[in-house]
Amino acid sequence: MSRTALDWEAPPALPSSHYIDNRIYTDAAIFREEETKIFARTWRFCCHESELPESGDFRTATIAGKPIALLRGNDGRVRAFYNACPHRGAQLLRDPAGNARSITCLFHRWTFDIHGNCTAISRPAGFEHCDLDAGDCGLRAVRTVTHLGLVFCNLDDDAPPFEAAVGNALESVAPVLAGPLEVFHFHRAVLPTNWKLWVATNIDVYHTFLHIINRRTSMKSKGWWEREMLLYPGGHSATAPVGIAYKKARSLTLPDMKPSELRISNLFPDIMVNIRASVMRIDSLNPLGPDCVEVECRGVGVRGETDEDRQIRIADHNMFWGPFGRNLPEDAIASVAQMRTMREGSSRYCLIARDWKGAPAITEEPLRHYYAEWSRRMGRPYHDPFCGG
Amino acid sequence: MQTNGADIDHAVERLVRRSCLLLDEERFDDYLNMCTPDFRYAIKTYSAEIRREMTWLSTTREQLADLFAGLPEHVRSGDVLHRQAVIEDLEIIGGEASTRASVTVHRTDVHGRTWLFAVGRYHDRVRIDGNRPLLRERTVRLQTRIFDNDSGGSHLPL
Repeated sequence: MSRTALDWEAPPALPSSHYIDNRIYTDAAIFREEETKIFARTWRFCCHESELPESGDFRTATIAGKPIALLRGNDGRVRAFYNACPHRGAQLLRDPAGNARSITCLFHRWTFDIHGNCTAISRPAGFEHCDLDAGDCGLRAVRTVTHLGLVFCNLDDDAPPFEAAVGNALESVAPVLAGPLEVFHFHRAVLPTNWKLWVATNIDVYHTFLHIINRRTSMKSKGWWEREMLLYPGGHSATAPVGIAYKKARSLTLPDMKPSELRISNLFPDIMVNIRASVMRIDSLNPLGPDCVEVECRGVGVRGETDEDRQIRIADHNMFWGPFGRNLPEDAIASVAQMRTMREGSSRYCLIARDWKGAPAITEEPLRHYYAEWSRRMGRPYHDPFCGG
Repeated sequence: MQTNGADIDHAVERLVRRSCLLLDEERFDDYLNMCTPDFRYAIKTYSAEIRREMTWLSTTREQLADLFAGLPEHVRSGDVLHRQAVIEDLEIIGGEASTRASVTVHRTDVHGRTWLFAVGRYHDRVRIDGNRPLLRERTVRLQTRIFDNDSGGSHLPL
């Protein structure tokens, strides 16, 4: 039976943990709060270390709207800084990647070394009257950790260390990440949807109904519906490894992977590591507004492998996850379709109520776990973010 | 029938233009009929982020036929693509032509609103068999690397 307006606006008759008030996806004030309470305080994936193989190599990124430069130092360590000249604020490194022996601001030629120290101020005599010293004009450092080849940054100097924040959440993918890997694919998509809807699609194993390829392979696999979902403190989750009934068995695998195996780990707030036998995908997000998100997708293979193996891996990747692949465009279409109804409030609640009670069923416990962490950080229950308002 | 150089040039140009039209109209069988049995298709681009060449799609004629056959089962955005190719260079050596064409792809959504989707170039190799040119290889070199449509890409080749 269809419902009246009053019925439609009423919270679902479910435990409050089992539904989401969709205003968490659309409200501009909530988005601004997320920038300060989540994006600026959590460990954000910025790149894989293979993107910075040599001393002086750099990558630029954005965290909570702030431009960041990551550089590999002469000591081999990756450091990150605000990509802004402390003199007048001009962006320092303007390319997405490259190699720099030093960094010179285009505006007034102030120069910095790759460790963030200011090494030269042009015509310094003009600053002598106020005792401005180059030693006090270094770049703003951003906490940076390289873990299993993944480079994470945190804007908050007081945030818990990476090890405490992530714990064992990457344990199922760690043996694969530990291998000699490199990124061979990178692309971005800017989607008119809320960033959490993309994350939720990645966490939501039930969404395999969206993909014809999955309906023909994954969903027919033994153990698919009985898969164990692993929850970790901090809103992180993983799906226990499962074998996929591929139409054609994979001819090569990543280290520690079986030919048909699938492993997925999700780190709060926005990182997914998804491994299908031969190839790894890493997703991360740059939220641009309540209804706009930039998705970054990487494909990862084995460093130093033969051209022949690389071509196979690229083909395996592109089949599902390339911008001209079979699955990725469908994920995007689904999350955009959600935003269309939520934007003007025509869909009021999302249900995350699936559970495993005696019968094999993919549970939505990882989604509830994820949103519980969102609520904790935001100080707003996801089922009632305005506390009755 | 005897053909001269100008006839061949025109036939090759017509082939490139027609390849756009047939993909736009999703007349996939006709598109494949314009291709040799050993046809190869690829979409490639250079990533300034990871500083390496990338292949985003690479298929044989048979794989492309499979891809086309599977399209009705996919959830698609509903956008209609409009490809426009302008030949920039054409060279004929023996029984084969090499062409380079600037290509722009616009997309129009189901409501009739149009955006630019991608720009790049077609690099084609065309086999000339009598007076009938056939596509032997097409590499789409994209300049566009960020897609901002609802699907963040496309189920269709360009």
